[in-house]
Amino acid sequence: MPQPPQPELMPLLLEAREREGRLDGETVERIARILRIPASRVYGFLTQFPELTRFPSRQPLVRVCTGPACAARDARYLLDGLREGLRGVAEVACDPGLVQPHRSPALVIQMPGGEERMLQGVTPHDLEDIARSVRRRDLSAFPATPEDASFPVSRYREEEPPPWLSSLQGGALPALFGGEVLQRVAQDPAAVLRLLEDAWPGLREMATGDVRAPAALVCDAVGGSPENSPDLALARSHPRAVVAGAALAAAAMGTGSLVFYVPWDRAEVAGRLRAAAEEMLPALEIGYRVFKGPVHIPCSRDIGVASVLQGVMLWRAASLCGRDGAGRLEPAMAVLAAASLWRLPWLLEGAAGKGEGHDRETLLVSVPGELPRWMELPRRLRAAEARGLLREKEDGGEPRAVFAEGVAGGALLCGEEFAIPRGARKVTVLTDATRMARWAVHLLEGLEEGCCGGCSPGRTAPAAAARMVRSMIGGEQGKRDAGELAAMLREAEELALCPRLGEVFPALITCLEDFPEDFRLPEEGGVRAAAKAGGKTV
Amino acid sequence: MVEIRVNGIDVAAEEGDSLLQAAERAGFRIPALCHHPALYPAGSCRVCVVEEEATGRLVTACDTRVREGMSVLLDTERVRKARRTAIELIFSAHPLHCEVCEENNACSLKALAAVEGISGRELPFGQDLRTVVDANPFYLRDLSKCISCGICIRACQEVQGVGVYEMQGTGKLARPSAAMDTSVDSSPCEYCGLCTSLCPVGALIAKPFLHQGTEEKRVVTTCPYCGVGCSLELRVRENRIVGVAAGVTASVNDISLCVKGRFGLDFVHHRDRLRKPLMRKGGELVEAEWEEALDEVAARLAEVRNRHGPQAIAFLSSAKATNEENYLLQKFARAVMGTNNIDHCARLCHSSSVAGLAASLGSGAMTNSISDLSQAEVILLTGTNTTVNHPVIGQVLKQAALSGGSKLIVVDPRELDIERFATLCLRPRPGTDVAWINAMARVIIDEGLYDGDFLRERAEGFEELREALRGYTPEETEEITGIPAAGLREAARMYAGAERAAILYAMGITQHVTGTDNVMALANLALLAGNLGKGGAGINPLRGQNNVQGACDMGALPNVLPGYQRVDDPEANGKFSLAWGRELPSTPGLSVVEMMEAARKKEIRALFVLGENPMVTDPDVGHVEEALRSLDYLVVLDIFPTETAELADVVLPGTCFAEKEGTFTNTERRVQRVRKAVEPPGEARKDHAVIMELAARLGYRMVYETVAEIMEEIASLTPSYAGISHERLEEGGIQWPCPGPAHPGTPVLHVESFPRGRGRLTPVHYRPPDELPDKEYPFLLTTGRLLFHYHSGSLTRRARSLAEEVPRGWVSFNCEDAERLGLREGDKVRLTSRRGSMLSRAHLSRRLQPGMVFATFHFSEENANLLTNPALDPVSKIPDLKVCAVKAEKVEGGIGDAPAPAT
Repeated sequence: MPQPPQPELMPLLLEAREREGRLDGETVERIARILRIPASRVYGFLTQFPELTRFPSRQPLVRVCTGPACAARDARYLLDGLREGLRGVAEVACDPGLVQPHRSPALVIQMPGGEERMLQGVTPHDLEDIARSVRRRDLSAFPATPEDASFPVSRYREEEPPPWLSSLQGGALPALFGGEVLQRVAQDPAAVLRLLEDAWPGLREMATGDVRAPAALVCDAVGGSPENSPDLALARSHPRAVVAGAALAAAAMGTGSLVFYVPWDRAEVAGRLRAAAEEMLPALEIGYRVFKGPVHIPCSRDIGVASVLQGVMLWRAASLCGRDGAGRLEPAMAVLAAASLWRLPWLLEGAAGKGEGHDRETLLVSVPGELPRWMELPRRLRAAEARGLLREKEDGGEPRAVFAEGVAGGALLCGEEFAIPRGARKVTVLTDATRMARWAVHLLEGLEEGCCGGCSPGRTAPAAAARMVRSMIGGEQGKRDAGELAAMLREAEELALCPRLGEVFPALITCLEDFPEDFRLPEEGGVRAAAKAGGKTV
Repeated sequence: MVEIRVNGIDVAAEEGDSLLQAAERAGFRIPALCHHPALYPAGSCRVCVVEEEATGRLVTACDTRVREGMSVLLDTERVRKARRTAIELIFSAHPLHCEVCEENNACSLKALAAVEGISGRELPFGQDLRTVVDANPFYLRDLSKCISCGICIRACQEVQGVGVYEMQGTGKLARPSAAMDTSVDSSPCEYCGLCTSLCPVGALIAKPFLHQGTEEKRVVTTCPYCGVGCSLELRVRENRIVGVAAGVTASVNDISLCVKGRFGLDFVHHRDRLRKPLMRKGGELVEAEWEEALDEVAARLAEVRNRHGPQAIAFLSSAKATNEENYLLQKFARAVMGTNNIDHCARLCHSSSVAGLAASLGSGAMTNSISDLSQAEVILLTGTNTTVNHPVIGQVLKQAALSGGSKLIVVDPRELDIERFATLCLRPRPGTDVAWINAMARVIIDEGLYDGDFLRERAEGFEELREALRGYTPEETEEITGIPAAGLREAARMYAGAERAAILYAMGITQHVTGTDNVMALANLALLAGNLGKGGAGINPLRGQNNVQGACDMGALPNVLPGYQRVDDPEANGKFSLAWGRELPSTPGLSVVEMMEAARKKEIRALFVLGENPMVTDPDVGHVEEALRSLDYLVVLDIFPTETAELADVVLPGTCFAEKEGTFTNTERRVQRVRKAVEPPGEARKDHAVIMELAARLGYRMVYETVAEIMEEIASLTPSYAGISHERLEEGGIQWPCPGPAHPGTPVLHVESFPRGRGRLTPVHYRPPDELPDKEYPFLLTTGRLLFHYHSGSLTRRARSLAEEVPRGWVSFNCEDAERLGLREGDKVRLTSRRGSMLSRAHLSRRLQPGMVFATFHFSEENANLLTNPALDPVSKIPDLKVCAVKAEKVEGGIGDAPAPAT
């Protein structure tokens, strides 16, 4: 029989973590007794979220961001270098994405006493200084981590940014937002559903009446790509827009219940959302709660968030939801990222302008080495235009590809024109300094543990593929080539239990098929070669 | 029905079927690794993918439900390729050490690869270091071979209800693990071995059968341990049992076994097995020849009969022996020796049930079946530590509770493991059962919760019962029982408010001087609520031994012939006298405890013991030893040199369950086959052959060509077995009564009427136990059993894994009491009662009420029966094994190892 949901499981674990600072066997047993479930289930659930099992230690902890932009800047090399240099002195961990906005590559140093520094734009030359400071446990050489960093808004060419982007710099919500708008939406939800259908697949079926209303709408304020997360940035800097958009979406879906999902260790974000919700929602008769949960969820995001909210094992959730997404978990939940929701008040007002519904996307644009910025870009971005995005860098190089992150994982866009998919929330421009083979290894290594492990392809295909890629770039390929590997990835993706592999493998396959020469380059390329040549960063 | 198409062929599927089920039922084969029909599908291995024509998608057959009009293709090139990729991906993380893997030619992964034509690794191999975990005596975990199919997890959670394992970690590091990644011996694992039997590869291996080779034959038989009567498949090679499995479909246990049934059968080949007769010469037991031994036994028994009369001879039959052997022994006692002095260990466990239920309902057996417990909305468990003493029934209860269909009410003086699944738990003082049961009955009557129609049509004595229950309100009984009134009211409302509610009970109800009254009080509850004669209801005594029900059925009792036909009933006596060709005695004989007293007084001078060990299992064993030493002649027919055999004049080597044909009858009245799998050791002979030889020497012709013929005779004389034969039992068991050869058997008793006509509501009143704590003996001793051992330990202490896990006994103390006594875990402690004393080690437990201590009788050197009270229930003659007074003293001289946690 399938396991019943245990919605109290994550809140109990986080409460214990906050109170006791660690989650030990006794705590696990106690929670198991409260919930009347085996202790193995509590523990198994907990181990799916490594950030929660990482206990405060007497040693410093260095977390190296390995998100896409940082990976494109050879973050793995930093990771290896620090592990070597700090062996026995500090714990060095890879983090699939630092949540605070940063310039890639970046890392965070945490001292046992709580002192913390985020270092951005780290180069190989910085490694020695970093290691020295960590050994001495003295971070005074590094500037304090910005408290409230936000992403700047840039204009595309010289165009005026749309009103919602302007509102990030102090604007207000559209005047029409309120109860009347909600009633209108509830009576005719089609317009809103159309605007959101690229943000959540289940909405297409909902629009045709094939799927009943979800029990709750989850507004994910963390996002599928925690690194330089647009969702978290919006929740922090413009919570009223996020709440308003969520309320409109809920009305369109016919659900009267909202859940705002925020990082478990970002109390200020939770507080801002709660304040906005308290101000706006009671009058609209929409129930809400703010749910704190883990940032890094090794599963398809929808399934992952829904399973955390219901305290169901990721593994079980994947087998229950399969490739259909979160809709099959009971109670059914719709999961929409904050960045998909916040613009709705303006869009309904009719201030679409050059925005949604036309040929534009509002995105966070990330160029390795720079702080990401908000921009409205044309959906079909020519390579020459993409080159313009790099103009601020003196040695920006040429754009080779654009990695677009959105609803269904990421797409790698190549060629003369980059067709940014609808629903994309962030793009990362990969330049010719990026070794696509190493970037492919990064994606695979992230997936090795970034998959719930509930199916055999998820457990084995990323690791097998990573071994194949490493052997290819190490010159040991033998009979294997990129085409064979691409074929294996396609088969594994089709076999997998849930959409997770499908969120990453298409980008990998594009890598293999469009940049085969990268997989034949010698190992000593890229940042390592550059470092040896004189330390110039790229 | 749902119509689908498979490979272009129309298939009729059932609503709710998976594609896999529907296809297999239609004769198609779809391979799968992580699937088992008894478990909820996981869709983890992805091997079972098929192509859905309408959408073009690949879907997993195991967890995709059929839909009307669905069309799937099983063997397209695309499906084959996908299946191959799935297997190759598994291989990429699985070591190919097949030649030295214990699973080898039983490996499902290897078999699957062979079918698909995969002979080697296509993808590069890599695996983080995974170790072999050897942390318990029962099974190894070789995590390097684990394919993370999750079968072990689902089996433990869904079937066993324990949940030792869960998937830990993510991605390539995901693997089954116990909580906090501790070793299994620190987890709640009950070592049932289900995970080892279902693991498709060599990641979980049963240790007792390591390196034993592949079996030459498989023999289906019935477990020799407890009254559940699990179906076993013994795997035999070169006259040795090299494997044990469950899984004869439609059996009592389905795919489950307990730790004893799965890992505890190597006693069959233990070096201690008796191989030749032993005769006492010069004060020592020495080997002898069969002819000499049998001649002497026959001669000495005849001598005692002739000199002192038939009543000077007594027989202890065996709840471990087959029905046929029990039948022959009681026939020998009555027809050859002329005595009704025959009894067996049922006297010590469920004689109260036989007496009480016979009085209330007309029949003393479990009224319902194990399988219909899942239909019960409420199950009242009292005096039964089911997960320990009837583990497979415990699983059924856990599943019933986990499914949400059944609510459990547990009433027991100790905290039990099953309480994790219970809705309501009540903690009475030992020996106060009539009081709390009467209080429940009072609530049912006062609140009008009784079934008026049922009482009118099928019961009698309601007014007398109502009158007798004055003074038994929950508030009035609270002081006696210690159970809060509100709890009892809630229990009564739950029980009587359910359409179907079952009562399960065992020794905690029966082994008291008021055991018969306790049983009748429970029968009153069932009658009041109308919970009889239908599925999911009933009153269900859980019989202990594998064939204690059968031994009773066969008349190995002093007052009844086979089929409970009374010895003093002229018609029954005449029937058997005619059939057996001898005039049979009509005066009821002595029960077990009475025999011991009679032996002490020289009223019994000769005793023949078949497969029993009263030196360990009877109350007040000091008294028993004195009695046995008083005998003129003691004969023991057994498979091991037990403590009782050590005192015998002649010891005859018998055969165990694996070495003979016959039948056992389990607690739900199911008669099942026992089949010979191996040859007995040395010169050991089948028990029934020994009895026949003795009869021949005493001038009585008792000749049967086959064991089946004995059953034919039983059927001809025993109405409830009339339709039972070995031939009919070939495909599975039959529940008596089975009155004719075409009758299918009777899963539920009393559907239309009770054997006595109407059920009787019997007023019973609370009487305190015979002996309660006082100043001199301030603790209340209660006794019980452990999961890993069985009764006197003669079998389990010779099963290597069980003996290694629990090598010796202990006495459990409440933590506060232990502190007052200055006891720490493992300290030596002496327990003393008015009858004897024993030395053991202390275990501190939160499961006991203050003032209680708990001990077992599995270890003869630290046997609780040195202390127990032989005071008898006046009707059933069962001793008061559950309550006596003791004192405890810490003994200096070192701390021992901490005993295993009590279960």
